Amino acid sequence: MLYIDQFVYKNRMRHSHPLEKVIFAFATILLSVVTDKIAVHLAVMTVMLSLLVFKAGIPANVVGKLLLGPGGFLLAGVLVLAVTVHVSAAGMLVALPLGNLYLGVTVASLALAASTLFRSLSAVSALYFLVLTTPMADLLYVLQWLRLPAIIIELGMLVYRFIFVFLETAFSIYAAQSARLGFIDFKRSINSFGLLFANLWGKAFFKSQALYNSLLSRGYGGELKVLSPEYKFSLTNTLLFVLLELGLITLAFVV
Amino acid sequence: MVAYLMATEKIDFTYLDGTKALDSLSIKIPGGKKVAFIGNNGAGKTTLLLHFNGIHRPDSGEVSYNGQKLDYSSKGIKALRKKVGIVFQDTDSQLFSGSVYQDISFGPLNLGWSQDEVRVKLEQVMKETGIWELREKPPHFLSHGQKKRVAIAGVLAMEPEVLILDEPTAGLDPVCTSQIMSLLNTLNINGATIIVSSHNMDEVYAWADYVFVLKEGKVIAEGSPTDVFRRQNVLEAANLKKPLVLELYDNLVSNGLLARKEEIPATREALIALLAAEQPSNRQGSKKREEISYAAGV
Repeated sequence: MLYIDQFVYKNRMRHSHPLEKVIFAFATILLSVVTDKIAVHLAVMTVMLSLLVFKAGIPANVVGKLLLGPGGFLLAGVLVLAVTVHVSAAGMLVALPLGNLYLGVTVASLALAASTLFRSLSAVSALYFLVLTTPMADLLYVLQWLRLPAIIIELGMLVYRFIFVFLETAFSIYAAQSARLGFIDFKRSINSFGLLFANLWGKAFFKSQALYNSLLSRGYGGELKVLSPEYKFSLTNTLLFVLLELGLITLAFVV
Repeated sequence: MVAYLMATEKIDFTYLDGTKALDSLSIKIPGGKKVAFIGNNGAGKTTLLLHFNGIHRPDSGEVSYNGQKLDYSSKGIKALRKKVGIVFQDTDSQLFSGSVYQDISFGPLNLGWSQDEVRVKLEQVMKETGIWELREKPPHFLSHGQKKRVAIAGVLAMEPEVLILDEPTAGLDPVCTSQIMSLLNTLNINGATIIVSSHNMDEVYAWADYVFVLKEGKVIAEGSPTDVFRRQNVLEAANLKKPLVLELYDNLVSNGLLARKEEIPATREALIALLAAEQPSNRQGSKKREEISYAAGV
Protein backbone atom coordinates (compact mmCIF):
# COMPACT_ATOMS: atom_id res chain seq x y z
CA MET A 1 0.00 0.00 0.00
CA LEU A 2 1.17 3.49 -0.81
CA TYR A 3 1.47 5.39 2.44
CA ILE A 4 1.57 8.98 1.17
CA ASP A 5 2.37 10.00 4.73
CA GLN A 6 5.87 8.55 4.55
CA PHE A 7 6.78 10.92 1.76
CA VAL A 8 5.14 13.82 3.54
CA TYR A 9 7.26 13.26 6.63
CA LYS A 10 10.47 12.92 4.65
CA ASN A 11 9.94 15.83 2.25
CA ARG A 12 12.45 18.66 2.39
CA MET A 13 9.82 21.41 2.69
CA ARG A 14 8.04 20.07 5.72
CA HIS A 15 9.77 22.43 8.10
CA SER A 16 8.69 25.60 6.37
CA HIS A 17 5.82 27.33 8.13
CA PRO A 18 2.46 25.71 7.30
CA LEU A 19 0.82 29.11 6.82
CA GLU A 20 3.28 30.00 4.03
CA LYS A 21 2.40 26.84 2.16
CA VAL A 22 -1.35 27.08 2.73
CA ILE A 23 -1.55 30.69 1.51
CA PHE A 24 0.61 29.97 -1.53
CA ALA A 25 -1.38 26.86 -2.46
CA PHE A 26 -4.81 28.43 -2.05
CA ALA A 27 -3.86 31.64 -3.87
CA THR A 28 -2.71 29.48 -6.78
CA ILE A 29 -5.85 27.34 -6.74
CA LEU A 30 -7.95 30.50 -6.84
CA LEU A 31 -5.90 31.82 -9.76
CA SER A 32 -6.30 28.54 -11.65
CA VAL A 33 -10.06 28.65 -11.24
CA VAL A 34 -10.39 32.32 -12.19
CA THR A 35 -8.25 32.40 -15.31
CA ASP A 36 -9.17 30.86 -18.67
CA LYS A 37 -5.68 30.86 -20.10
CA ILE A 38 -4.35 27.38 -20.65
CA ALA A 39 -0.83 28.83 -20.62
CA VAL A 40 -1.37 29.86 -16.99
CA HIS A 41 -2.69 26.41 -16.12
CA LEU A 42 0.36 24.81 -17.69
CA ALA A 43 2.62 27.26 -15.83
CA VAL A 44 0.93 26.45 -12.51
CA MET A 45 1.38 22.72 -13.11
CA THR A 46 5.04 23.22 -14.04
CA VAL A 47 5.72 25.35 -10.96
CA MET A 48 3.91 23.07 -8.50
CA LEU A 49 5.21 19.78 -9.82
CA SER A 50 8.78 21.03 -10.03
CA LEU A 51 8.57 22.38 -6.48
CA LEU A 52 7.36 18.95 -5.38
CA VAL A 53 10.01 16.97 -7.23
CA PHE A 54 13.05 19.26 -7.04
CA LYS A 55 12.56 21.33 -3.90
CA ALA A 56 10.57 18.95 -1.68
CA GLY A 57 12.36 15.89 -3.06
CA ILE A 58 9.29 13.73 -3.59
CA PRO A 59 10.05 11.06 -6.23
CA ALA A 60 8.58 11.96 -9.64
CA ASN A 61 7.00 8.53 -10.03
CA VAL A 62 5.11 8.95 -6.76
CA VAL A 63 3.74 12.32 -7.85
CA GLY A 64 2.88 10.81 -11.24
CA LYS A 65 1.04 7.88 -9.66
CA LEU A 66 -0.93 10.21 -7.42
CA LEU A 67 -1.94 12.37 -10.40
CA LEU A 68 -3.26 9.31 -12.21
CA GLY A 69 -6.17 9.05 -9.75
CA PRO A 70 -7.85 12.41 -10.33
CA GLY A 71 -6.45 12.40 -13.90
CA GLY A 72 -8.50 9.31 -14.77
CA PHE A 73 -11.68 10.80 -13.34
CA LEU A 74 -11.05 14.07 -15.16
CA LEU A 75 -10.51 12.40 -18.53
CA ALA A 76 -13.78 10.49 -18.21
CA GLY A 77 -15.62 13.66 -17.25
CA VAL A 78 -14.01 15.78 -19.94
CA LEU A 79 -14.86 13.24 -22.62
CA VAL A 80 -18.53 13.91 -21.98
CA LEU A 81 -17.91 17.65 -22.34
CA ALA A 82 -16.03 17.21 -25.62
CA VAL A 83 -18.80 15.24 -27.30
CA THR A 84 -21.99 17.02 -28.26
CA VAL A 85 -25.25 15.84 -29.80
CA HIS A 86 -27.01 17.96 -32.42
CA VAL A 87 -29.63 17.67 -35.19
CA SER A 88 -27.17 18.71 -37.89
CA ALA A 89 -23.56 17.86 -38.43
CA ALA A 90 -22.75 21.46 -39.36
CA GLY A 91 -19.72 22.78 -37.50
CA MET A 92 -18.71 19.36 -36.20
CA LEU A 93 -15.13 18.33 -36.79
CA VAL A 94 -16.03 14.67 -36.63
CA ALA A 95 -19.62 13.44 -36.71
CA LEU A 96 -21.28 10.10 -36.16
CA PRO A 97 -24.91 9.81 -37.42
CA LEU A 98 -27.26 8.33 -34.84
CA GLY A 99 -30.70 8.10 -36.40
CA ASN A 100 -31.83 11.70 -36.84
CA LEU A 101 -29.09 13.05 -34.60
CA TYR A 102 -25.38 13.53 -34.92
CA LEU A 103 -22.82 12.70 -32.26
CA GLY A 104 -19.62 14.70 -32.69
CA VAL A 105 -17.07 17.19 -31.48
CA THR A 106 -17.04 20.89 -32.27
CA VAL A 107 -14.27 23.46 -31.87
CA ALA A 108 -16.19 25.04 -28.98
CA SER A 109 -16.76 21.75 -27.16
CA LEU A 110 -13.13 20.76 -27.57
CA ALA A 111 -12.01 24.12 -26.19
CA LEU A 112 -14.36 23.77 -23.22
CA ALA A 113 -13.09 20.26 -22.54
CA ALA A 114 -9.46 21.29 -22.78
CA SER A 115 -9.89 24.33 -20.56
CA THR A 116 -11.77 22.27 -17.94
CA LEU A 117 -9.11 19.58 -18.03
CA PHE A 118 -6.18 21.94 -17.59
CA ARG A 119 -7.94 24.13 -15.07
CA SER A 120 -8.67 21.11 -12.89
CA LEU A 121 -5.24 19.59 -13.28
CA SER A 122 -3.54 22.83 -12.31
CA ALA A 123 -5.76 23.20 -9.23
CA VAL A 124 -5.10 19.57 -8.32
CA SER A 125 -1.35 20.03 -8.66
CA ALA A 126 -1.48 23.07 -6.36
CA LEU A 127 -3.47 21.05 -3.83
CA TYR A 128 -0.98 18.19 -4.07
CA PHE A 129 1.82 20.63 -3.40
CA LEU A 130 0.15 21.49 -0.11
CA VAL A 131 -0.85 17.95 0.84
CA LEU A 132 2.51 16.39 0.04
CA THR A 133 4.63 18.98 1.82
CA THR A 134 2.50 19.57 4.93
CA PRO A 135 1.72 16.89 7.52
CA MET A 136 -1.82 16.63 8.83
CA ALA A 137 -0.82 17.95 12.25
CA ASP A 138 0.46 21.16 10.61
CA LEU A 139 -2.70 21.56 8.52
CA LEU A 140 -4.80 21.26 11.66
CA TYR A 141 -2.65 23.97 13.21
CA VAL A 142 -3.64 26.28 10.34
CA LEU A 143 -7.32 25.46 10.87
CA GLN A 144 -6.86 26.32 14.53
CA TRP A 145 -5.14 29.56 13.56
CA LEU A 146 -8.13 30.36 11.35
CA ARG A 147 -10.33 29.98 14.47
CA LEU A 148 -12.37 27.13 13.05
CA PRO A 149 -14.72 25.48 15.58
CA ALA A 150 -12.86 23.10 17.88
CA ILE A 151 -15.19 20.22 17.00
CA ILE A 152 -14.05 20.24 13.35
CA ILE A 153 -10.38 20.27 14.29
CA GLU A 154 -10.83 17.51 16.89
CA LEU A 155 -12.73 15.39 14.40
CA GLY A 156 -9.99 15.91 11.85
CA MET A 157 -7.36 14.88 14.34
CA LEU A 158 -9.20 11.74 15.49
CA VAL A 159 -10.17 10.69 11.96
CA TYR A 160 -6.59 11.07 10.77
CA ARG A 161 -5.15 9.07 13.64
CA PHE A 162 -7.75 6.30 13.59
CA ILE A 163 -7.73 5.78 9.84
CA PHE A 164 -4.35 4.17 10.41
CA VAL A 165 -5.44 2.15 13.44
CA PHE A 166 -8.51 1.03 11.47
CA LEU A 167 -6.44 0.07 8.42
CA GLU A 168 -3.91 -1.84 10.50
CA THR A 169 -6.70 -3.74 12.25
CA ALA A 170 -8.41 -4.47 8.95
CA PHE A 171 -5.17 -5.73 7.39
CA SER A 172 -4.38 -7.97 10.33
CA ILE A 173 -7.85 -9.54 10.17
CA TYR A 174 -7.47 -9.91 6.40
CA ALA A 175 -4.07 -11.56 6.82
CA ALA A 176 -5.42 -13.96 9.45
CA GLN A 177 -8.32 -14.85 7.16
CA SER A 178 -6.20 -15.39 4.05
CA ALA A 179 -3.77 -17.53 6.02
CA ARG A 180 -6.68 -19.89 6.60
CA LEU A 181 -7.79 -19.69 2.94
CA GLY A 182 -10.61 -17.26 3.64
CA PHE A 183 -10.34 -15.79 0.15
CA ILE A 184 -9.85 -18.99 -1.82
CA ASP A 185 -12.84 -18.44 -4.10
CA PHE A 186 -15.53 -15.86 -4.72
CA LYS A 187 -18.08 -17.34 -2.34
CA ARG A 188 -15.62 -17.68 0.52
CA SER A 189 -14.35 -14.17 -0.18
CA ILE A 190 -17.81 -12.68 0.19
CA ASN A 191 -18.30 -14.57 3.42
CA SER A 192 -14.90 -13.64 4.83
CA PHE A 193 -15.34 -10.02 3.89
CA GLY A 194 -18.62 -9.91 5.79
CA LEU A 195 -16.95 -11.40 8.86
CA LEU A 196 -14.08 -8.95 8.54
CA PHE A 197 -16.46 -6.03 8.48
CA ALA A 198 -18.52 -7.24 11.44
CA ASN A 199 -15.36 -7.85 13.41
CA LEU A 200 -14.00 -4.43 12.57
CA TRP A 201 -17.15 -2.79 13.88
CA GLY A 202 -16.93 -4.66 17.14
CA LYS A 203 -13.30 -3.73 17.55
CA ALA A 204 -13.98 -0.10 16.72
CA PHE A 205 -16.54 0.15 19.52
CA PHE A 206 -14.25 -1.59 21.96
CA LYS A 207 -11.33 0.66 21.03
CA SER A 208 -13.40 3.80 21.31
CA GLN A 209 -14.30 2.86 24.88
CA ALA A 210 -10.64 2.20 25.68
CA LEU A 211 -9.66 5.52 24.13
CA TYR A 212 -12.29 7.33 26.16
CA ASN A 213 -10.97 5.75 29.38
CA SER A 214 -7.40 6.71 28.57
CA LEU A 215 -8.41 10.29 27.69
CA LEU A 216 -10.34 10.52 30.96
CA SER A 217 -7.33 9.47 32.96
CA ARG A 218 -5.32 12.24 31.35
CA GLY A 219 -7.90 14.78 32.49
CA TYR A 220 -10.16 14.95 29.40
CA GLY A 221 -12.85 17.52 30.02
CA GLY A 222 -14.72 17.59 26.71
CA GLU A 223 -12.05 19.32 24.67
CA LEU A 224 -9.00 17.81 22.98
CA LYS A 225 -6.52 20.60 23.59
CA VAL A 226 -3.07 20.00 22.13
CA LEU A 227 -0.01 22.10 21.52
CA SER A 228 1.92 22.14 18.24
CA PRO A 229 5.67 22.57 18.03
CA GLU A 230 6.60 26.19 17.30
CA TYR A 231 6.88 26.92 13.57
CA LYS A 232 9.36 29.38 12.10
CA PHE A 233 8.73 31.68 9.15
CA SER A 234 11.44 31.53 6.53
CA LEU A 235 12.19 34.70 4.58
CA THR A 236 13.64 32.87 1.58
CA ASN A 237 10.61 30.59 1.28
CA THR A 238 8.17 33.46 1.61
CA LEU A 239 10.10 35.45 -1.02
CA LEU A 240 10.13 32.45 -3.37
CA PHE A 241 6.38 31.91 -2.96
CA VAL A 242 5.59 35.62 -3.46
CA LEU A 243 7.76 35.84 -6.59
CA LEU A 244 6.24 32.70 -8.11
CA GLU A 245 2.71 33.88 -7.34
CA LEU A 246 3.40 37.34 -8.82
CA GLY A 247 4.80 35.70 -11.94
CA LEU A 248 1.69 33.55 -12.35
CA ILE A 249 -0.63 36.52 -11.76
CA THR A 250 1.25 38.56 -14.34
CA LEU A 251 0.92 35.73 -16.83
CA ALA A 252 -2.81 35.50 -16.12
CA PHE A 253 -3.81 39.15 -16.22
CA VAL A 254 -1.09 41.27 -17.81
CA VAL A 255 0.52 39.34 -20.64
CA MET B 1 0.93 3.04 62.23
CA VAL B 2 2.08 2.65 58.65
CA ALA B 3 0.88 5.34 56.31
CA TYR B 4 -0.72 3.88 53.21
CA LEU B 5 -0.92 5.87 50.01
CA MET B 6 -3.74 3.96 48.40
CA ALA B 7 -6.24 1.56 49.84
CA THR B 8 -9.43 -0.23 48.92
CA GLU B 9 -11.91 -1.45 51.51
CA LYS B 10 -14.09 -4.37 50.48
CA ILE B 11 -14.78 -3.15 46.97
CA ASP B 12 -17.08 -5.02 44.60
CA PHE B 13 -17.33 -4.35 40.92
CA THR B 14 -19.53 -6.04 38.34
CA TYR B 15 -19.47 -5.19 34.63
CA LEU B 16 -22.70 -4.44 32.78
CA ASP B 17 -22.65 -7.89 31.19
CA GLY B 18 -22.76 -9.47 34.67
CA THR B 19 -19.09 -10.41 34.96
CA LYS B 20 -18.07 -10.02 38.58
CA ALA B 21 -14.57 -8.55 38.31
CA LEU B 22 -13.79 -7.60 41.92
CA ASP B 23 -15.12 -9.45 44.92
CA SER B 24 -14.92 -7.69 48.28
CA LEU B 25 -11.32 -6.74 47.64
CA SER B 26 -9.27 -4.95 50.30
CA ILE B 27 -5.68 -3.87 49.83
CA LYS B 28 -3.29 -1.32 51.23
CA ILE B 29 -0.48 0.09 49.11
CA PRO B 30 2.38 1.83 50.87
CA GLY B 31 3.74 4.99 49.23
CA GLY B 32 7.12 5.26 47.47
CA LYS B 33 7.25 1.55 46.62
CA LYS B 34 7.43 -0.51 43.47
CA VAL B 35 4.27 -2.59 43.58
CA ALA B 36 3.23 -5.39 41.24
CA PHE B 37 -0.12 -7.06 40.68
CA ILE B 38 0.04 -10.56 39.27
CA GLY B 39 -2.59 -13.08 38.38
CA ASN B 40 -4.22 -14.81 35.43
CA ASN B 41 -5.97 -13.07 32.59
CA GLY B 42 -9.35 -12.09 33.95
CA ALA B 43 -8.22 -12.04 37.58
CA GLY B 44 -9.33 -8.40 37.86
CA LYS B 45 -5.98 -6.61 37.60
CA THR B 46 -6.99 -4.03 35.00
CA THR B 47 -10.38 -3.45 36.62
CA LEU B 48 -8.69 -2.77 39.94
CA LEU B 49 -6.16 -0.40 38.40
CA LEU B 50 -9.00 1.60 36.83
CA HIS B 51 -10.46 2.12 40.31
CA PHE B 52 -7.32 3.89 41.46
CA ASN B 53 -7.93 7.00 39.41
CA GLY B 54 -11.68 6.97 39.41
CA ILE B 55 -12.40 5.61 35.92
CA HIS B 56 -14.36 2.84 37.60
CA ARG B 57 -16.36 3.41 40.73
CA PRO B 58 -16.95 0.44 43.02
CA ASP B 59 -20.51 -0.91 43.35
CA SER B 60 -19.86 -1.09 47.07
CA GLY B 61 -16.90 -0.52 49.35
CA GLU B 62 -14.45 2.34 49.35
CA VAL B 63 -11.30 3.48 47.60
CA SER B 64 -9.05 5.95 49.35
CA TYR B 65 -6.01 7.98 48.45
CA ASN B 66 -3.67 9.36 51.11
CA GLY B 67 -6.13 8.39 53.81
CA GLN B 68 -9.00 10.27 52.16
CA LYS B 69 -12.01 8.63 50.55
CA LEU B 70 -12.13 9.35 46.82
CA ASP B 71 -14.22 12.38 45.97
CA TYR B 72 -16.10 11.56 42.77
CA SER B 73 -17.18 15.14 42.05
CA SER B 74 -15.65 16.51 38.85
CA LYS B 75 -13.29 18.70 40.84
CA GLY B 76 -12.22 15.82 43.06
CA ILE B 77 -11.70 13.53 40.08
CA LYS B 78 -9.60 16.13 38.32
CA ALA B 79 -7.35 16.51 41.35
CA LEU B 80 -7.06 12.73 41.69
CA ARG B 81 -6.15 12.15 38.06
CA LYS B 82 -3.36 14.68 38.30
CA LYS B 83 -1.84 12.66 41.13
CA VAL B 84 -2.53 9.19 39.77
CA GLY B 85 -1.58 8.55 36.13
CA ILE B 86 -2.38 5.39 34.18
CA VAL B 87 -0.50 4.04 31.18
CA PHE B 88 -2.82 1.64 29.36
CA GLN B 89 -1.82 -1.66 27.87
CA ASP B 90 -2.95 -0.92 24.32
CA THR B 91 -0.99 2.14 23.19
CA ASP B 92 -3.15 2.48 20.06
CA SER B 93 -6.11 3.29 22.28
CA GLN B 94 -4.09 5.83 24.21
CA LEU B 95 -2.36 7.84 21.47
CA PHE B 96 -4.97 9.87 19.64
CA SER B 97 -3.16 12.77 18.06
CA GLY B 98 -1.37 13.34 14.75
CA SER B 99 2.04 13.92 16.30
CA VAL B 100 3.96 12.75 19.35
CA TYR B 101 4.48 16.30 20.60
CA GLN B 102 0.77 17.13 20.43
CA ASP B 103 -0.18 13.89 22.11
CA ILE B 104 2.07 14.44 25.11
CA SER B 105 0.89 18.07 25.44
CA PHE B 106 -2.70 16.89 26.02
CA GLY B 107 -2.45 16.00 29.73
CA PRO B 108 -0.55 19.10 30.92
CA LEU B 109 -2.89 21.39 28.93
CA ASN B 110 -5.85 19.77 30.69
CA LEU B 111 -4.23 20.76 33.98
CA GLY B 112 -4.50 24.36 32.85
CA TRP B 113 -0.78 25.07 32.58
CA SER B 114 0.42 27.93 30.39
CA GLN B 115 1.86 27.15 26.94
CA ASP B 116 5.36 28.07 28.06
CA GLU B 117 5.21 25.82 31.11
CA VAL B 118 3.90 22.98 28.95
CA ARG B 119 6.68 23.41 26.37
CA VAL B 120 9.38 23.31 29.04
CA LYS B 121 7.84 20.22 30.62
CA LEU B 122 7.43 18.48 27.27
CA GLU B 123 11.08 18.91 26.35
CA GLN B 124 12.21 17.65 29.75
CA VAL B 125 9.96 14.60 29.81
CA MET B 126 10.62 13.67 26.18
CA LYS B 127 14.37 13.78 26.74
CA GLU B 128 13.99 11.75 29.93
CA THR B 129 12.10 9.02 28.06
CA GLY B 130 14.38 9.23 25.02
CA ILE B 131 11.76 10.26 22.47
CA TRP B 132 12.75 13.87 21.75
CA GLU B 133 13.81 12.90 18.21
CA LEU B 134 10.36 11.44 17.52
CA ARG B 135 8.44 14.58 18.49
CA GLU B 136 7.14 15.45 15.03
CA LYS B 137 6.22 11.92 13.97
CA PRO B 138 2.67 10.57 13.90
CA PRO B 139 2.09 7.52 16.14
CA HIS B 140 1.58 5.12 13.22
CA PHE B 141 5.24 5.54 12.22
CA LEU B 142 6.49 4.35 15.60
CA SER B 143 7.47 0.87 16.76
CA HIS B 144 5.62 -0.73 19.65
CA GLY B 145 8.44 0.12 22.05
CA GLN B 146 8.50 3.75 20.93
CA LYS B 147 4.71 4.05 21.26
CA LYS B 148 5.00 2.70 24.78
CA ARG B 149 7.52 5.34 25.72
CA VAL B 150 5.32 8.05 24.19
CA ALA B 151 2.36 6.78 26.20
CA ILE B 152 4.44 6.85 29.39
CA ALA B 153 5.74 10.35 28.61
CA GLY B 154 2.15 11.55 28.08
CA VAL B 155 1.34 10.56 31.63
CA LEU B 156 4.67 11.63 33.17
CA ALA B 157 4.20 15.11 31.73
CA MET B 158 1.40 15.58 34.27
CA GLU B 159 3.87 14.97 37.14
CA PRO B 160 1.86 12.25 38.88
CA GLU B 161 2.71 11.01 42.38
CA VAL B 162 1.63 7.52 41.43
CA LEU B 163 2.30 5.97 38.05
CA ILE B 164 0.19 2.94 37.18
CA LEU B 165 1.14 0.79 34.19
CA ASP B 166 -1.06 -2.01 32.91
CA GLU B 167 1.27 -4.72 31.56
CA PRO B 168 3.92 -2.23 30.49
CA THR B 169 6.24 -4.77 28.90
CA ALA B 170 3.72 -7.05 27.15
CA GLY B 171 4.91 -7.62 23.60
CA LEU B 172 8.17 -5.72 23.98
CA ASP B 173 11.60 -7.10 23.09
CA PRO B 174 14.15 -7.66 25.89
CA VAL B 175 16.03 -4.42 25.21
CA CYS B 176 12.86 -2.29 25.29
CA THR B 177 11.70 -4.16 28.37
CA SER B 178 14.86 -3.41 30.33
CA GLN B 179 14.78 0.23 29.16
CA ILE B 180 11.23 0.62 30.44
CA MET B 181 11.97 -1.14 33.72
CA SER B 182 15.06 0.98 34.39
CA LEU B 183 13.05 4.12 33.56
CA LEU B 184 10.51 3.01 36.16
CA ASN B 185 13.33 2.47 38.66
CA THR B 186 14.63 5.98 38.09
CA LEU B 187 11.17 7.44 38.56
CA ASN B 188 10.78 5.47 41.77
CA ILE B 189 14.11 6.70 43.10
CA ASN B 190 12.92 10.24 42.37
CA GLY B 191 9.97 9.64 44.66
CA ALA B 192 7.11 8.26 42.57
CA THR B 193 5.10 5.23 43.62
CA ILE B 194 5.01 2.78 40.72
CA ILE B 195 2.28 0.17 40.30
CA VAL B 196 2.41 -2.38 37.49
CA SER B 197 0.44 -5.41 36.47
CA SER B 198 2.40 -8.16 34.79
CA HIS B 199 2.47 -11.75 33.58
CA ASN B 200 6.23 -11.95 33.64
CA MET B 201 7.16 -13.52 36.96
CA ASP B 202 10.93 -13.16 36.45
CA GLU B 203 10.47 -9.46 35.82
CA VAL B 204 8.20 -8.94 38.82
CA TYR B 205 10.52 -10.91 41.08
CA ALA B 206 13.56 -8.89 40.03
CA TRP B 207 11.84 -5.52 40.12
CA ALA B 208 9.06 -5.24 42.69
CA ASP B 209 9.22 -4.37 46.39
CA TYR B 210 5.77 -5.68 47.10
CA VAL B 211 3.52 -8.13 45.27
CA PHE B 212 -0.23 -8.75 45.28
CA VAL B 213 -1.59 -12.00 43.83
CA LEU B 214 -5.10 -11.71 42.43
CA LYS B 215 -7.48 -14.51 41.59
CA GLU B 216 -11.10 -14.16 40.55
CA GLY B 217 -11.35 -10.63 41.90
CA LYS B 218 -9.79 -11.41 45.25
CA VAL B 219 -6.33 -10.98 46.75
CA ILE B 220 -5.06 -14.45 47.65
CA ALA B 221 -1.57 -13.43 48.76
CA GLU B 222 0.62 -10.41 49.29
CA GLY B 223 4.09 -9.63 50.56
CA SER B 224 7.67 -9.33 49.41
CA PRO B 225 8.43 -11.18 46.14
CA THR B 226 10.67 -13.78 47.84
CA ASP B 227 7.98 -14.45 50.39
CA VAL B 228 5.08 -14.72 47.93
CA PHE B 229 6.93 -16.72 45.30
CA ARG B 230 8.00 -19.31 47.84
CA ARG B 231 4.42 -20.18 48.73
CA GLN B 232 3.78 -23.16 46.52
CA ASN B 233 0.07 -23.32 47.33
CA VAL B 234 -0.41 -19.69 46.24
CA LEU B 235 1.46 -20.23 42.99
CA GLU B 236 -0.63 -23.31 42.25
CA ALA B 237 -3.90 -21.63 43.12
CA ALA B 238 -3.13 -18.67 40.90
CA ASN B 239 -1.57 -20.77 38.11
CA LEU B 240 1.72 -18.94 38.32
CA LYS B 241 5.28 -20.14 37.90
CA LYS B 242 8.04 -19.60 40.41
CA PRO B 243 10.67 -17.16 39.04
CA LEU B 244 13.64 -19.00 37.57
CA VAL B 245 16.30 -17.23 39.65
CA LEU B 246 14.53 -17.98 42.92
CA GLU B 247 13.78 -21.56 41.89
CA LEU B 248 17.43 -22.19 41.01
CA TYR B 249 18.72 -20.53 44.15
CA ASP B 250 16.41 -22.49 46.41
CA ASN B 251 17.33 -25.75 44.71
CA LEU B 252 21.04 -25.03 44.88
CA VAL B 253 20.73 -24.27 48.57
CA SER B 254 18.59 -27.28 49.40
CA ASN B 255 20.98 -29.57 47.50
CA GLY B 256 23.92 -28.18 49.44
CA LEU B 257 25.58 -26.71 46.35
CA LEU B 258 25.31 -23.17 47.64
CA ALA B 259 25.46 -21.74 51.15
CA ARG B 260 22.29 -19.97 52.31
CA LYS B 261 22.76 -16.21 52.03
CA GLU B 262 21.41 -13.28 53.99
CA GLU B 263 20.43 -11.56 50.78
CA ILE B 264 18.59 -13.65 48.23
CA PRO B 265 19.64 -12.88 44.63
CA ALA B 266 16.95 -10.93 42.75
CA THR B 267 18.39 -10.99 39.25
CA ARG B 268 20.19 -13.56 37.17
CA GLU B 269 23.30 -11.35 37.31
CA ALA B 270 23.20 -11.48 41.11
CA LEU B 271 22.83 -15.27 41.05
CA ILE B 272 25.72 -15.67 38.61
CA ALA B 273 27.89 -13.42 40.79
CA LEU B 274 26.96 -15.53 43.79
CA LEU B 275 27.94 -18.73 41.98
CA ALA B 276 31.21 -17.20 40.79
CA ALA B 277 32.07 -16.20 44.35
CA GLU B 278 31.30 -19.75 45.48
CA GLN B 279 33.43 -21.31 42.74
CA PRO B 280 37.07 -21.75 43.90
CA SER B 281 36.62 -24.89 46.01
CA ASN B 282 34.00 -26.39 43.71
CA ARG B 283 36.07 -25.74 40.62
CA GLN B 284 38.96 -27.71 42.04
CA GLY B 285 36.59 -30.49 42.86
CA SER B 286 35.20 -30.61 39.36
CA LYS B 287 38.68 -30.53 37.89
CA LYS B 288 39.65 -33.52 39.94
CA ARG B 289 36.55 -35.33 38.81
CA GLU B 290 37.48 -34.55 35.20
CA GLU B 291 40.94 -36.00 35.71
CA ILE B 292 39.48 -39.10 37.20
CA SER B 293 37.10 -39.56 34.31
CA TYR B 294 39.96 -39.08 31.84
CA ALA B 295 42.03 -41.61 33.70
CA ALA B 296 39.15 -44.03 33.60
CA GLY B 297 38.99 -43.51 29.84
CA VAL B 298 35.45 -42.21 29.91
